[in-house]
Amino acid sequence: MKYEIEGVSIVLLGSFNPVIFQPAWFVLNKILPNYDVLEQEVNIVHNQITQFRLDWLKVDVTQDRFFASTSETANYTTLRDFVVSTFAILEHTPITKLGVNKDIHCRAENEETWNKIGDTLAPKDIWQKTLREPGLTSLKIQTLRDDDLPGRINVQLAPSAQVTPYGVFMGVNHHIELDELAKDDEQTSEQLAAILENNWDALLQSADKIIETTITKAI
Amino acid sequence: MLTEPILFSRYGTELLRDAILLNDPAENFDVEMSQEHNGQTAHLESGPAAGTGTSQTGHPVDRHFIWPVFNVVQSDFKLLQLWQGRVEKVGTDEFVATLFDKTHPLSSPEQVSISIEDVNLEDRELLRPGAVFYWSIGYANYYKGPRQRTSRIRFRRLVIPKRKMVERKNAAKQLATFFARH
Repeated sequence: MKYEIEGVSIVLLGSFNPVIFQPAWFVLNKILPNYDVLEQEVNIVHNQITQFRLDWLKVDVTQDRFFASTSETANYTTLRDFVVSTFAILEHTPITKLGVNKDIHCRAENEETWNKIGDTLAPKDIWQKTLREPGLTSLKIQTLRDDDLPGRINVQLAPSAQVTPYGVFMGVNHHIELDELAKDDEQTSEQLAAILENNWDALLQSADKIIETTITKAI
Repeated sequence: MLTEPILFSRYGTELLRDAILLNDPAENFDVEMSQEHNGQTAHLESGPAAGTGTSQTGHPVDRHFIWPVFNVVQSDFKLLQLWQGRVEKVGTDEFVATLFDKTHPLSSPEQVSISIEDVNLEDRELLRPGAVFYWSIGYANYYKGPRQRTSRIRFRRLVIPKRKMVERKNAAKQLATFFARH
């Protein structure tokens, strides 16, 4: 099934100073070129929250969470470089968790196929004993990782509001316990860089495989 | 027949056999979910999830359904082909690069000459042997306005952590000393 919308995001949990993360800071530190920030949309820059959006990038930082995303396939690797570079400069930032996420929206061929996906993944026979016309609105599955990284994989499936009618949203979250990996003499930002540089393609390929297999088998 | 398109599926006959830890998520993963269920009367803003995943939080539209909101910036560039390039040699008007096809990863690397004019002025300071760049071809303004086929070259900007840089410099010094002695 062809994706109508897709995107990748990197989420970090830790302790951040949101006011740092503004477009000018990224340009000053040569993480982003000037041409990237010519058309910027800064929602807020504050001690507690920063949110801005560029042509290809969205950044959303609070005191305990850093979020950066893109839906440009061409810039998936640039997103990774953006995060690695940011925390190479802010190397003493305590980071505890890392999430590498792939989200997609696709369209089922027709209503029957759309319903079949929900029925296959969440059968209704038990629900129908007590509920009238039960429908799937969100399904979340958690599983162990099949690589050496500590953490888990979270998968979510729901009807899509972006693609209508018969749209399906699916998201895969590679959750990694970064703090379990850091050695005593090493900053977590170094672990972050190592994981993102060495595992990036594998994490995205794994997410694609989960999404494709799930949807293909459910149809 | 579905009267409300927001209901994803109604009738199921098959048993789910392969579910793992269904609805048994850990601490953070389910906070967002409880927000959704508690949000039947409150209008939730589209925002980040509590864990490291993305969220589809949104506003409720009927008795139990929360419209999902895509939390990733939407692009108007539809990618057709992507290469990763490595600069080999820089000339006056052109540079030579090895291209690795990221769209068809099994393809063999190719060596090409690219006009320096194709590189953004600001990226030209990064143009040196060994530099990595991404070359994409696709349709711009895919969702709005006329479709344009465009080619973009973007040089990689990667900051190396200070400690790693020091380690690399030390290793280079040791090698230089070793070769000077032998």
